[in-house]
Amino acid sequence: MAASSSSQGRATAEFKVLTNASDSQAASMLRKHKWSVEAATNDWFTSGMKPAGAAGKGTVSGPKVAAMFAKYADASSGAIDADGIEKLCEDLGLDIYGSPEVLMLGYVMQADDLTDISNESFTRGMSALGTSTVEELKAEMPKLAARITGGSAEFAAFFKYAFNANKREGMRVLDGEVAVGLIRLLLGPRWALAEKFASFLESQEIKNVTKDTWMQTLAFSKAFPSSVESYDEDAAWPVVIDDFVASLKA
Amino acid sequence: MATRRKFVIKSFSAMNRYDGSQIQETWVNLRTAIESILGGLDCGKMSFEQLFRFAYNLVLHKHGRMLYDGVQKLIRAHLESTVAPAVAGAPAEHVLAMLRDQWTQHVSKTKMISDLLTHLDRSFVTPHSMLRVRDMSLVEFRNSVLNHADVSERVSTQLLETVAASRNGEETDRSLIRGTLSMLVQLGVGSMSVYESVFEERFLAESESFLKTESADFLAANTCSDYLRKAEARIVEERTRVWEYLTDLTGQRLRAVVERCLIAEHTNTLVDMRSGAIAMMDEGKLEELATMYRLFSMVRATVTFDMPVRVAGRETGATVTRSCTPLTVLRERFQRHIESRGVTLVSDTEEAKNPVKFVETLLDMRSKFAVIVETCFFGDKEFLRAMKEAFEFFVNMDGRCAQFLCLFLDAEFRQGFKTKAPEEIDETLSAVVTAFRFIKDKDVFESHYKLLLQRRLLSNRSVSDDAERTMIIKLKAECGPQFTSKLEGMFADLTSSRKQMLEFRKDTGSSRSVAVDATILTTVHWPSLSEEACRLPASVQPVADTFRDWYLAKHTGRRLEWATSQGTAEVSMLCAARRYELVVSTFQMCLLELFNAAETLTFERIRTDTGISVPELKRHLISLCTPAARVLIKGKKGKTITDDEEFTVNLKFKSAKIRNRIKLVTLRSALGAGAAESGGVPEQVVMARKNQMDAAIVRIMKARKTLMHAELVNETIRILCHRFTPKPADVKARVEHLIDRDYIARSADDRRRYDYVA
Repeated sequence: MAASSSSQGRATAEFKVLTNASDSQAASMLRKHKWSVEAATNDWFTSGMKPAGAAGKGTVSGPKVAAMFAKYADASSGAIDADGIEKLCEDLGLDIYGSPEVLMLGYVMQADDLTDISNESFTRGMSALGTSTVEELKAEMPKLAARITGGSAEFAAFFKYAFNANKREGMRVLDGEVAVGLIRLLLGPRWALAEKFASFLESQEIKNVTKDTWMQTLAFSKAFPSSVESYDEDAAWPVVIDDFVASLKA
Repeated sequence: MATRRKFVIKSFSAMNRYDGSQIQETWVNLRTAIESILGGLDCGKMSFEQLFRFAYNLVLHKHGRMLYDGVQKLIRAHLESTVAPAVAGAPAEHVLAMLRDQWTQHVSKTKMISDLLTHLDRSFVTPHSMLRVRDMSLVEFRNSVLNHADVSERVSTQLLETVAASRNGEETDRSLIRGTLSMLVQLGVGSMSVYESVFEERFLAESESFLKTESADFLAANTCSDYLRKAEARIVEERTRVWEYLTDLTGQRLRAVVERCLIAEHTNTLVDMRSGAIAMMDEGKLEELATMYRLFSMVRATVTFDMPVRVAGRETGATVTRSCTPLTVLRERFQRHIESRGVTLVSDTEEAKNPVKFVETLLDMRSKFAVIVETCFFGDKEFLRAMKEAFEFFVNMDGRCAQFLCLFLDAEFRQGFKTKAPEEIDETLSAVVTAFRFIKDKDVFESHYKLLLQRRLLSNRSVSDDAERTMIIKLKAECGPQFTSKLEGMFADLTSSRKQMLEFRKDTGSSRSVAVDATILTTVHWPSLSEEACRLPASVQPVADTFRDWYLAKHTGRRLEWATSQGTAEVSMLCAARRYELVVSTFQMCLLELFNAAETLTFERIRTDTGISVPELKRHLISLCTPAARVLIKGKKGKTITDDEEFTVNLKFKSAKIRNRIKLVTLRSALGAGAAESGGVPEQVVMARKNQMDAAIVRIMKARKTLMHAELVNETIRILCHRFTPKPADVKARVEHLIDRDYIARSADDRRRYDYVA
């Protein structure tokens, strides 16, 4: 077990760097995922875990957050709806359709639907960010933007969130047009072929994108950052990616 | 005691007395004797025994070296002074004979000398690892006679000239050549170098140039068949030559040269020339083709062959030069030839219009090439495979062949088999099954076959029930019971329907003006029945309802629907006091019934009253207005029907027969419509394939739990290939579908691995 414990030690260290988790948190999370750092990190970010001790940075004021929520929430439904989020974006100086930060905000709040944010989600998000007012939140925006363009372990979870948050209610798949927009928005800054892929999807008039294809697109963008020279057609990539590569090579 | 005689062993005093003079004397005696032997004279006074002892003594007293060298000198002197000049001086045409004579003499003299010197060989030569006397004598002959400036070259030339003369058909002294060659072999003294340098090398080179010139000249001036005959004769002749005077080794080398020059180098020409293999196949020159196969199959040499390059089954126009045996070239060209003939057939637009003719041509082609493989290529398995591949290639170029085979069978079942004997029918069906074997998309065939079988069965137009069943049995043998279960189900439905009807008549009695004869079809067995429907006339509806009630009372929990687009009706028509029986479709029965109330009706009226869709109604109406059976009279002339067009009952209807079957005008795109989409595969087959792929994938994953992508695709294709061959991309699309449906999931560790989701 010696070799295994040393590899476990390495995994723990790596995991802690990525997540700022405590030793015990790291150990339990990693054990749950059979010591796979990637899987554990994904789970960490998707399940909205926070480093022990960092919970509620102490500066978050409950009443202020509640007041902020009340400002944007619809009184009758008790949740932030489409109008509310639009107003919030306006106040934060974000373009609701063109800023990935909006999605990131939703990701931090773990809101299933950006047009229906519950008080609970909102509070969770604010405490995770350590902000309690619009101004504080606005000041936090560059950090959010950095989280999108930065570390890759969190990005996979965020990318998955983007799929879930943007698909239509009750559907398993993402609308083709929406998917194309998201690929430009999220992968554009990190992947040289993003624009080509997006326009390929448009030219094919893809009706929808399955979750598998969505996540495989991310894996594809990592495996082939700029060239598809070494692409292997038998390597289980989704058909649409096969077609895309064929169109590039043609 | 008697005195004992003692034996005293003494040394052999004579030996000790051997000294210089005696040695000299002994050698002189021996030399004289050997000289006389070499001179061809009598051995003289000396007896063999004496001479033998002399030699023995010399060796015994360690004078072996002197004896050996002396004899060698004697032999050399003799050869140089007498034999070599004789051979060298002989005129060219006699040089071989002279050499042979001298050789024969020399061999016998050598024998005598070496017999005398047996002890020398044993006690002096062997320990000193020198050449035995006999071999030494032969070497001397080689050095002095054969290697004489005027001999070797002339012998060589003479030998080759004699062979050349024999090749040109002249009579030659074979024993002379055989003798000379055997001499050359012996002169090698344990090696073949003399034979090879004096004869073989030049012989093979000469043979090659001769055969090359001869074959090229002959081929330029004659047909392929003539050439093959000539080549075969030449091969036999050269084989005889080997047998007559060449060594086995030369025989093998010569054979390689012959095969290369006569066949291998001309392979491409022989196959492609105007009278070549391809033409022979077309003209049915089976015997010549068999000769070619026989000759080609002997050759192991390889030839270069420009093989067309194919990408995904299509010619690219480019070629790669490959090295292969003539037989491979013949096989490749044979395969391409079938393919090109097949492609011509498939792309022929005239044939495309006539399924029966198309299939007949196809079956003819198959039997023709099968005969060629059987008789000309002696059932060679590789050629059989090539033929199969060739047929598969063009038969599967589009989905038409499957459809045409079905249409062909349909025509036979409806008409053709009426006049055929059971054996002939069986033969036709077997031929169709062999062609069916070439089809990869068996499911397309099944779909067309089922549709046509349904039409035949429901319109009762099949002439032979036995033939129908035979075909099913053959298909079952070919593809297994799963493939035919629905077809068999169709037959079973008919049988049980007949039984049901008997019971129904017994239960309800049959004294009615309208009698119903229902056929009960199990929905899953029959290809989707047309959704076209009509309202049954008031006079018919009650009978139909009676049957429905009777049936549902017997079989609870079933659903019964009338397929009015199918079926026929017999109606009576009174015209000019004559009663005619008309056999019409259900739709026609419904619309004719309307004319009981009125003599003339508009199209619109008929449409609203029967509820039949416009195109179907037009078709059925037109069929009643044809010159062959003018039951109704159209208001206007022409083929088109307008909404307000009037139809009147033709009361002057006349026919020689009482009973008239009304033929339905066929819709032009009756079968072609579905096939035109998605590259010849009918829509319902495409759907069925998706389901089959899904089922196969889930079944595999359920058994294996986790599997790599490539393995899953291969396994799926393997499971399904007896029905159709899915493309890997198709399988992949289904895998994606199943991932989306949560039947399987990508493994977390390796994105190329799938896990079964229970």
